[in-house]
Amino acid sequence: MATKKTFEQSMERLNIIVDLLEKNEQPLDETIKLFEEGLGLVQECDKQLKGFEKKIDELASKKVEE
Amino acid sequence: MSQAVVKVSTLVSYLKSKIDQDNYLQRILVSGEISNFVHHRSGHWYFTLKDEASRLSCVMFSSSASRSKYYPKDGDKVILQANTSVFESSGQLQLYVTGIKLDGIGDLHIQFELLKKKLFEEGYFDENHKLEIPKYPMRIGLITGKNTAAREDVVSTLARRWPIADLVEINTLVQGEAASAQIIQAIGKMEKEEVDVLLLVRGGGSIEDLWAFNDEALAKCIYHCTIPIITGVGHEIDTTIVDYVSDLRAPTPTGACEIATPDQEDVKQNLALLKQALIKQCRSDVEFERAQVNRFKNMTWFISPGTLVDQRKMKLDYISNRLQIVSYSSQKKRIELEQVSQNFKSLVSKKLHQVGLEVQTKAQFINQNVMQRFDRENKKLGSMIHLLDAYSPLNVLKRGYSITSNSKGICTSVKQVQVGDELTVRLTDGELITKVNRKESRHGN
Repeated sequence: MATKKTFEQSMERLNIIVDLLEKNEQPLDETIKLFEEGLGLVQECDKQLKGFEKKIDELASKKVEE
Repeated sequence: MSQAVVKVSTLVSYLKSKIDQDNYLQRILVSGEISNFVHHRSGHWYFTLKDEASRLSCVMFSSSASRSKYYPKDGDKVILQANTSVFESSGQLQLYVTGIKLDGIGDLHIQFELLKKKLFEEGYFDENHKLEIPKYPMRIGLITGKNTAAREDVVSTLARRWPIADLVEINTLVQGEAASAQIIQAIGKMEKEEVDVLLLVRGGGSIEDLWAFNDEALAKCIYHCTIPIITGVGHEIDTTIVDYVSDLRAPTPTGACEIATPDQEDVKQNLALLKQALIKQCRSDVEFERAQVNRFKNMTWFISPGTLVDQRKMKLDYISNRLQIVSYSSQKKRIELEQVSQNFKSLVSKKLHQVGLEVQTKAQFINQNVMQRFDRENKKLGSMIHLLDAYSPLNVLKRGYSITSNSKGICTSVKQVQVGDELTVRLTDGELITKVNRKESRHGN
């Protein structure tokens, strides 16, 4: 995961991970890897979302220049 | 007679007020021929307007007369712009003239209609060919006369409505012989300037004044122009050929500019609304994503990851349980197998034993049988040998007989032997190798 994922990509990956965990067909060490990755992605998404919310608030409060 | 009697002045005054108030009789255009023209020293013009059937007296006060480009003379056919009223002193109906011009337009009207028909039939007015006017033009071309009211109207309208746009201006003649050629050239330049929309405007005037805008070459140039063109030539009532061929016709120069531009106040208001909507949309988008993320956050594994392993543990337990069952059943199978093999073994050994006994009895029986037979045969053989012994040539040889043989076998006749043959003579204890010297046959045998 050298390149940073976009929010969209992270969410997509999370969906895939959750699907895999739900099916629970992979070996356990793979499960742990998926779990670790998923947890990281949730935290990353959460952080990004907070950033978005903050940015919207900032932009919304800006006056349109005359 | 109970009817009221009125004074003449009252009646005339009443008539005058009636006529003055009738809008259909004010600011009207009347055509006719001039007669009895008088230019009074006060500056006022007095004359009679007549046609084949009627006549009316007219007055044009010096204030209007002094501004007229046309100076009337008896016999001229003219068009007047006038108000109708009553001259109270004489009680006479009169036209108060505010404008006058020669009625020479008949020809031009016919030309106009002919050109319009021709261009229409050739498809130059086709609605499908008209270009769309851009909503937010940032570069507006303006072709009009230098220092004209029309130009001022456009410039001030643009400043009020849409000052953000660049104005590219080309001034041309807008009247007279050279005007249309100049306008054609200007349109060509505007195409190179890459303006978003082009305004071609001129203030009001007579049909002669506006005649440059009824030019066929100009109409075709506008038709082929790649920039959308809005025309605003003259006032509402004036229509020229370029109005038909242009992409949009405005009633006035101001109107042309209004059509070409959005009102900045509207745009600002709209922007504010869009901004609100945008923020709202953004927030709801983020809220939606927030819900998604929270869904993940609240998933069992992320809250208590142990469940991931628990499931495995359960699976392991299940499998080991199964294994136990399997090993138990295999043990059972083994015991069964051992039992079966035991049974098999004992069965087999019993059978073997039985078969062994049988074999033994049979062998004994065979043995006995064979021995008996052997004995019998042996005895038979002994007697045979005995007999054979009695007949044996060896015994004969013992008694002095011999056996003579040559290379062909035993000789029983002298005929089988030639003189000089080598003969073997067998005696009981050896052989003699002899040579025949002489042969003597014994007859009678």
